[in-house]
Amino acid sequence: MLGYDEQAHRSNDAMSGRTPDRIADIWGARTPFGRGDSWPVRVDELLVDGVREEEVTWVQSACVLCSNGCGLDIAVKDGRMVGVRGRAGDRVNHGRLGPKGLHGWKANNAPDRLTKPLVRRNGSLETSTWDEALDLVVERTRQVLNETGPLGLGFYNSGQLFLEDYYTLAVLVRAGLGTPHLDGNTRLCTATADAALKESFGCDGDPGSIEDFDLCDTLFLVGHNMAETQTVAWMRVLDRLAGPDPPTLIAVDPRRTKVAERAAVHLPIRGGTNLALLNAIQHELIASDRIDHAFVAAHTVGYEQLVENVAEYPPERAADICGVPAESIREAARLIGAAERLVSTCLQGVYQSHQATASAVQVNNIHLLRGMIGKPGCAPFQMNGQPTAQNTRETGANGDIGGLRNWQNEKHVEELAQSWNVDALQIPHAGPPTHVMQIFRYAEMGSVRFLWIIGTNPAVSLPNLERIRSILKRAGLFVVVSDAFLNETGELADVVLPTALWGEKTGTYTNYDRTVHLSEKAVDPPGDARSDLDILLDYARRLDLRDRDGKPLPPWDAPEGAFEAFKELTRGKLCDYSGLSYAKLRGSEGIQWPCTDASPDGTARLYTDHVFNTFPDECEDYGHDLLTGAARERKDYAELDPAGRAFLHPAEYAPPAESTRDEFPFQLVTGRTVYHWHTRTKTGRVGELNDAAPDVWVELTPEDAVELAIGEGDVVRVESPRGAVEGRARLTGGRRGVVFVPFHYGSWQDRTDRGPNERAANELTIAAWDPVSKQPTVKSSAVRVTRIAASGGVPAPAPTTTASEPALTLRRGDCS
Amino acid sequence: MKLDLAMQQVQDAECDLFEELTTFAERHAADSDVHHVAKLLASRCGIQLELLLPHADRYGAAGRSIDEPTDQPPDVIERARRLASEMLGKHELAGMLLLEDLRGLYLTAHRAELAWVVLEQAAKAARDVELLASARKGREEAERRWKWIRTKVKEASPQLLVAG
Repeated sequence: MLGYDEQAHRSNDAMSGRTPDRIADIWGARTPFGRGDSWPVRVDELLVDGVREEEVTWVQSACVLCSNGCGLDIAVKDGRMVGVRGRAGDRVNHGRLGPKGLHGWKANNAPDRLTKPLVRRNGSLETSTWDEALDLVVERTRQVLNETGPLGLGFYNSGQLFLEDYYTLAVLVRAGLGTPHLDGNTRLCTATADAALKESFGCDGDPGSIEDFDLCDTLFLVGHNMAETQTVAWMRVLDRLAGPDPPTLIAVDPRRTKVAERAAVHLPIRGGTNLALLNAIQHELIASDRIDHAFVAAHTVGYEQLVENVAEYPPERAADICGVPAESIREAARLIGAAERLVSTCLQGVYQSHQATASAVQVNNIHLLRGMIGKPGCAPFQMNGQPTAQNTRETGANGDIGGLRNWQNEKHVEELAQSWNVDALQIPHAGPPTHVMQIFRYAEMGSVRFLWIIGTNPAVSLPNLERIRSILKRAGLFVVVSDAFLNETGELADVVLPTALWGEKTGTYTNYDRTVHLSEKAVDPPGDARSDLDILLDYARRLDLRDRDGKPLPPWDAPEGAFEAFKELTRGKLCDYSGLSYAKLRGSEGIQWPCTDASPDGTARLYTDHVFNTFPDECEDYGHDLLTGAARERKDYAELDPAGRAFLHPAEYAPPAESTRDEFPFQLVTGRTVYHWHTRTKTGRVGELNDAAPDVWVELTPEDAVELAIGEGDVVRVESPRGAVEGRARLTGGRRGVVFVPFHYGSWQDRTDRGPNERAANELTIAAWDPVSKQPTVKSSAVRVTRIAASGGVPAPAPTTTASEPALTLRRGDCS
Repeated sequence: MKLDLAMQQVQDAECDLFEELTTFAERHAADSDVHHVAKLLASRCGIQLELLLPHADRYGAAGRSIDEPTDQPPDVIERARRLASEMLGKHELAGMLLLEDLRGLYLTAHRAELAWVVLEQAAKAARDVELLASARKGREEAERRWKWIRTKVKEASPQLLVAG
């Protein structure tokens, strides 16, 4: 129970009738609370000017602008969205909303929404009808099926669709068409979370509960700028920090983030060296015997090998590799070793960095060594980036196959075949589902000739953009794009299909702590735009996809049917949805899976009995060699005899694919800012968010800037062996030798005289990925920086409220 | 005792594999996945040889190392080489070449592993605990290489042979 009746607390802004300002005051007013107390409610609400609360209808939903998944209600007046309000009773946010949650919905009302399908005629995209557009897509699909077979078809989707969209897509592609080439842009954000959970615990699914943040005494954030990526989770932590008995914070991040500023120990390590650091921390835990030996003996395998491996990483060696003092590493290890209730998190600083899975797994190791998992206040969180990323994994719309099943396990594939009523051989499982960079590679070589991109913008978000563009433009590749707006990728498509956004369709989604929310349709989509589920079903019907008995495949025709079918697929699996329904989710505060008849209120924590999902017949994956990605086969796995015990995987540090050198002396780290989401397709269309960070910038330290004769606001050029980006310089308090460039900006809305492709950080990034999770290593490229022009008195268009805050207070006249 | 012979065979096999991995990585620069891992594994062949250094003297074998170019090649050459690979890499037949090269590499990797197995067996029989520990380490690394190649072959062949 939240007990919000007695604690109900509206933010001062809301009480005074003003809109809370989550642009300047990102995290809002503090509502301190002590360890184990209930997080006080604070309702953040925004209604457009002139609209009064009594005029609107509230429709239940949850935010889709980060993986926290805050419960909110959408305000509707005269068939239009006019605002949002955090749901006071929601277990995730207790009423709060961040900047994107509070403002992001305005993109739905943007004047340049796509309202009609577009078809390329004589080289340019022209308005068409749904019949013309979909018939063309179907005709090309048939042609490729006839000439190349299903392996000629590829699908690349998003981390922001709903569970129902994903499951429809997964069944259509895996059972209907029979191609393994289906991935999601979750490959760029949570593929490593997924992989790390499978490697350590045998199965995807974060073991902890968001309430573990209320209970912990120590919080270890690795490569996780929570203050900007999950603002509402950070509000929760800030309120703990402001209350009695606050947790001790340890932060690993090359930038001086808001998280780092609050940390007892901040480790600004050299990019790509997480693994060496985490090995050294384990070295210290073992040296000081902060090990739960009984837990390790009963519930893990691999301890001896781990001890042998981390023995090679005394803090002094890690200090050399990571470029931080050995004493800081010792202090971090001491705090982690002293913790009684430890919560750790990883995000993109691990996942998009070198040796991603190997490093994420070490954080799991730390929890296993300390026996701090599956109990209150103790959890490693392999965080998600996107709001519905968890669902791509569960439904198999990315690199997994559905219901957290194992593609190498014939019995699991047979279960899918039964559920979908198709022959097991129809479901591709000769290898793992193809990851996006490999799908693009096949397209580059000409064997994938049809590519449908749904709700994502690879022409800005994938690494090494010059190459991605050349593939999308390749003659012989037919590109279909489904999106609500014409983005950079749509510009290169043969067919563009207008889609409904969040709030314009009904469905469910699940956040990182397994909380499932229902989001109801609040308004109609504009013009002829349709939901992804509708479009995919229409496509399936036009293709006349059928199951073994001649029934249409997928068999449902509305979101609830997809949800009900998916529930059955998950029955008895770890991600068991069988106890959930739309009716049950309606009005709920969010329910965590597994939710079954036996646990109708959901399940706060996984593995409370410390029996992990590692049995060979049950596990989702047999695991990999973390250095090379060599896949274990069943016999290799069975030999390890895990039998419900978790894996302590050792991993050795290896240098990154691209090192800095004379010609490219800086390390490039790309990342987000709090105000934007992905490639700004939505957030760039919201005035408040756009104005807060309107253009790309380049962060470097004042020390590096002095050597390059660069001042605040000067226009600089960042170059890698692959491309260049131009933007104004911001001098920040990060690590020397590191250059940070936000990855949100593409060519859209670029009103400067830069070259046509000189704004996207991914012009610079290397095409390299983690060998296990296949997540692109976009945080590890080598670049050089040169000054192009003086600032003219204009500072960088970077926020001053976040990690991109100037190292020194900017004063008039500071810009040369 | 012919342990020097066993060591030499390991050294020869590692040097061969280094050459082959390096050539392979360059030829398949357009295939980022195999390119980076092959380069990494090639760089680790030198570490494999180092495992033998403390033992070589005892058995009258010469210590060996791999002469990796210490300086990065000039960027213009690197770019030209990369460009050639990437241009060829766009051709549909690049996939068949990849599969063929992986097969060759698999055999070389297995030859190297077998050389370590031989050395490990000999070390056991000679009751040389230190050499045995090194040989075991070397053999484990050698296994990881062919397992990786096998994974890549399994992943690549469906697309190349059925959709190619």
